[in-house]
Amino acid sequence: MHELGLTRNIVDTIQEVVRKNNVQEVVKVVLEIGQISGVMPEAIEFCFFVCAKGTVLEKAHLEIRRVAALGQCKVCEKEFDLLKGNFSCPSCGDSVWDLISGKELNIKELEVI
Amino acid sequence: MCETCGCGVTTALHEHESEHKKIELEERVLSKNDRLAERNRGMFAAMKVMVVNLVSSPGAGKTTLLERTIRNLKGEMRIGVIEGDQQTDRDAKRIAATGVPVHQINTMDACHLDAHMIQHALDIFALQELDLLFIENVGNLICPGAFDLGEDFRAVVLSTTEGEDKPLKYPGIFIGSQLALINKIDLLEVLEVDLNQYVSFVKKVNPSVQCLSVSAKTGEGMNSWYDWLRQKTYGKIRGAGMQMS
Repeated sequence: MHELGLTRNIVDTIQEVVRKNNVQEVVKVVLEIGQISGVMPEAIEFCFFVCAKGTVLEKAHLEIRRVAALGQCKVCEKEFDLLKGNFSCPSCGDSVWDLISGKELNIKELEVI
Repeated sequence: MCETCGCGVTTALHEHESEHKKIELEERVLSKNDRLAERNRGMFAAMKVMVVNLVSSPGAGKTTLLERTIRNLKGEMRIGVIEGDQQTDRDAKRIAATGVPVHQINTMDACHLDAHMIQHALDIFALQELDLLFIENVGNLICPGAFDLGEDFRAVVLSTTEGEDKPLKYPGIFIGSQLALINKIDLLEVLEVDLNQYVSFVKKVNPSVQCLSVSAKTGEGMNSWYDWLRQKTYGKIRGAGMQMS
């Protein structure tokens, strides 16, 4: 359960941006969370509600975009969803691939007033 | 409060057409940890210490693996250990009994070690007097996978008692590891499980990982692990020496 610490990081980072940009209020926060990042979006949502209390983020809507775990097949070079494809390329059946995405944990953008 | 939109802005220059500004951040949440990890990595490079971050679920045998490894290798290289657990110094005491320097970190509520904890733990080691530093992470197959500590290699330990499907269930930690040690192979017969199945599931989620099968208890297969450690440790010492000259 490392989501509380991560969410504190998220709120701290945004507060820093807020101070630098003379922002009155944060309306929306967009996060990207990869499917194999080891981070549970529901837990981040819960923690965000707690961590944002009493800050300029208090009323912000939290949007979480899941990023699929994609691999690129080393044989046929097709991209495929690792979790749906059970870690094997659905086109050629090979199981040697490079990881393209899925480990993200990013603050993508803010909407502010 | 603004009477036009009720948005809480009171300044005269408040423009409604642009009131909801977008700020593109693209900031990695773990960027602070990553920066500290890079600092640790720089320190390890300067001091020519090879660092292995050992991760696994609780009870996979990390400490037993380290005890046997240290007893076998301490005559030929200088080893140190950082132990991570939520509570107690039980593991540190076991490692201390082998005669090498050890530091216990109690993470309390945290389920993983991070680069900042390692940075402080390094204060108690004379790094220039070490060739190999093990960081035994908190037993957990999820959270430690997200935190770079500055190590050269992350080795994941999977014990046969956990079941062969753990890599499929917890792919994240296996994907980021360079070495997988399948431990407790002395129990294969009792458990009636197939070692090849463990290897194939590990390889399935990480095709480039190197797999070694060992029993930290009986010593079976441990020579391959020692050879791996020798190769990486002496490689780093020589490599760093070449860079310095």
